[in-house]
Amino acid sequence: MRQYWIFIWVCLISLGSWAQPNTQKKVTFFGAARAQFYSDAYEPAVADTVTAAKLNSGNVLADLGMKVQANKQMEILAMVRVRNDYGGFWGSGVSFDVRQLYVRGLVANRVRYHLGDFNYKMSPYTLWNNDQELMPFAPTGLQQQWGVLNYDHFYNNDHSWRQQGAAGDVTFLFANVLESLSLKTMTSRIRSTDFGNTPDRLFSGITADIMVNKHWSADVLYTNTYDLKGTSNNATLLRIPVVTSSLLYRNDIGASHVELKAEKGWSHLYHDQPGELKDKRGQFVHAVANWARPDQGWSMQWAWNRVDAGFRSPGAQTKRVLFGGVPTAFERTGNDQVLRTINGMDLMRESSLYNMQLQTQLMDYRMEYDNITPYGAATPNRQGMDFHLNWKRKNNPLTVDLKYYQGQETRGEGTLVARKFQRQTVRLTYETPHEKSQEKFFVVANVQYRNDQTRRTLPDVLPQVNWNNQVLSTALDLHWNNRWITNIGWQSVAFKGSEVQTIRDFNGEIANFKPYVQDGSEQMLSAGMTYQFSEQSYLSAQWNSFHRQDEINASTDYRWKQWTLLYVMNF
Amino acid sequence: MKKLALFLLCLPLLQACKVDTDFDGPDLNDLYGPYALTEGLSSSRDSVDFSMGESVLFTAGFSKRVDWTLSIKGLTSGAQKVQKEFGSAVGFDWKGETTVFPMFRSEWCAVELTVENQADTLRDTVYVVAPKVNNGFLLSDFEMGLNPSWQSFIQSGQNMSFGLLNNGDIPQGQRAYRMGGTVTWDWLIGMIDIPASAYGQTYYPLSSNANNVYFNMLMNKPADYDNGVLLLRFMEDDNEDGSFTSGSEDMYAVEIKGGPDGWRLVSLKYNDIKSLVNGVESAPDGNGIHEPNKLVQVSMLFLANPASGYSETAIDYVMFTEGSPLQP
Repeated sequence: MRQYWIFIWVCLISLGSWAQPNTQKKVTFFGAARAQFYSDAYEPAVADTVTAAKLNSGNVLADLGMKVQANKQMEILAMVRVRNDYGGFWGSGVSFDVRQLYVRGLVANRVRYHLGDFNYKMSPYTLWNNDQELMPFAPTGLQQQWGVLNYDHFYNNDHSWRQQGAAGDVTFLFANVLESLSLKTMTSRIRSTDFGNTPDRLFSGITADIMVNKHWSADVLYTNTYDLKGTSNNATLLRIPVVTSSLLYRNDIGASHVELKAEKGWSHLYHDQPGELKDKRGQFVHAVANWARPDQGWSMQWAWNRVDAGFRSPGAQTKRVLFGGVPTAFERTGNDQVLRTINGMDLMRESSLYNMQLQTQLMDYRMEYDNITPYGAATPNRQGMDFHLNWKRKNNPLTVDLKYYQGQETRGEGTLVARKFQRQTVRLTYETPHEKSQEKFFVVANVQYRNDQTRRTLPDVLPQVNWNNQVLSTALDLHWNNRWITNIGWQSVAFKGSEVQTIRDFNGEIANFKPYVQDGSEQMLSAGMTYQFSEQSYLSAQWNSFHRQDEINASTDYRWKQWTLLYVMNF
Repeated sequence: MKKLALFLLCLPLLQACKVDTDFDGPDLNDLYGPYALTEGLSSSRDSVDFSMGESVLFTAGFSKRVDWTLSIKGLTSGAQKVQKEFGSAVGFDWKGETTVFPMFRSEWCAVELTVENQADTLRDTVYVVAPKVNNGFLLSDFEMGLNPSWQSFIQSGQNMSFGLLNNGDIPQGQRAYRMGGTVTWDWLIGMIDIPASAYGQTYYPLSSNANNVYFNMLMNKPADYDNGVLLLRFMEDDNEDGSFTSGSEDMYAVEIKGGPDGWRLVSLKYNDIKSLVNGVESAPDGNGIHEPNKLVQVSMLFLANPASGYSETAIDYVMFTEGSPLQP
């Protein structure tokens, strides 16, 4: 298969060479290069004579891309990745992969199409790639490592999922009644057949955006995750259609900008020839009101949402992190060589813990990092209200961001009493006023704090839920000039209390409960220097110190110190 | 129009803060609530004739889900049926099966119900009028001795102990067949060939569906000897000439070794039995299709490493069943 892709790539290069003399055809080369080295030291709190205390790892890679503008209406892109792991030599540890390949263009100057690899998003309830836990709170030095992970897995700031398939869109403009109607559609394969019992699984989405006038707009979205009949011997085929519709009103009232939006959706998980597999139906509603005074820097949002316990939307509920995975660095620790639990440091650097395919079952999550919205806005069994206040005024160095969420379950688990949730988030940023063109010293300081509380009070004989987790992050970036940056940061994740874990059966139904008690924290300190060659290239040396504390089981306490050298270049 | 749209925007608020009137998962009270016996142990009948297809239903109830164990012990045979489940109710319908050999016979049985982490033991008794009858093709239960049409070969080693066993620890009836001895020059200690002709048939009376046919026997591994290997061979007459021809017709085999001490049930789905050469899976010599309806002979070879000394095993109640494994 690899040879096949290499052949295609060589053909495309040949095509590029052939295309040079033709003035209508244009070939652009682009790509990225990266070198990343880790030097790790593991320091357990209790004697460990088995685990190797020091590890060195890393890799060097180059992504080489070529974009061919075959004609005015067609573009072809191919990118290959050549990677050599630290210690790889004479072919061992070297990999050569196709990173992306697509063809896109226009049909009749109206319909856009895209075949191959593409990034796609729809809405937070249909197709949305939610940020991984802790990442939004990382100080700058750690953000660089998160950035590497996100680049490798095609996780973008627009929350799109990397898909492989076909997409197209067309827009109609009208003279009366409506202003415009945009239709978008896509289909991708999210699982391939094994030619035995596992059928091909596809994901399709359709979006209709209706612009009535400058104040009113609406949309209807439909997604379906489905097994393709005939691609395996299995007659039990999964279907998860999701339909949503929304209405949006926006207007400027004086100096204020107002937006009101309401959205409602339905999902139905079922199987053809289900056997013992059960149907699952669910709905959600979401209402949001935005008010902003751009001249004064104020913006405010009030939102309400309710997502039924039975609502299933693989495109929106799939997580980035595979919490069921195992870390590769210090995989087993202690004299008994027990599998080490994933921590915040692993999340920042372990590529193998990350998922790129949409999943049809609710994936595992760690309540230590997020117990309220583990599946983003589409987290099932949640209802509540959140309030968001932001102040950012032009030419003012300070930015203030406050959030408050209060909610509860829509359906109790093991009892009619619903869990109740509270979340407070504060984010303060200070950035010395400066001009980008001037080589002057400036400072960026950042403090973020999130406090999550989950409670469910039941008679004493039953397991109680009283769970608290807090994330505190501070960062100080000293920009000496346009090239040199010193960054210092600290991140703390504290978790304490009792919860009840759910154990699900093959249907995804809750089959049992398991009380879960934790009292611990993860502290991460970061300090380093970054040299920026340009806006797209930098060299960074960072020192990180990680400390896991467990007040209940001290044998899992350890420190992990890490030196990182990271060179990133985009061209 | 604007008013209607604004009204639609506000509609979601109507669903605010409702919590469903049912819940997901098992009731927490069922799992973690206080324990109490809500219904005592009772049986649906005092005596039961399993040979007539009767069964006896044991019931009890608890205030929460618990790990309960129902144990039925034959007061004469010592046979035991043990049923363990997790739940808030006992509803076990006993059809005469055995968990710990020997098999039940006509006898009084003591019934005990215990709950994990609870001190109480609930008791009852039931009389077994006649034990369960197992349907299938019985090769032998050794009650009438060794079938004279079987062919056996026994090495001339030391302490050779091939013969009927009647030591009071027999899982079914009064007799079993023991194979044992020391052979220092060969793995083979002794063997028995059981041809279909011993039952007056060319082929064993089995269906052609290999997924439906099970070979079953009760087997004993004495606690002192772990070195024995019982090799079972199943020979088919692929060309239907009435006999098995080595090298050109299918012979499927399985090696049984190790396992727990004492008597245990061995059940093999015919379709799962592979072709072996020197213990290693290999392609069959014939048509490669499991055809129990063409089975002409079963052989049992008792083997042991020549350097490992004395070895012993015993077998009883050798039977083919169809549809499901033997449930003695």
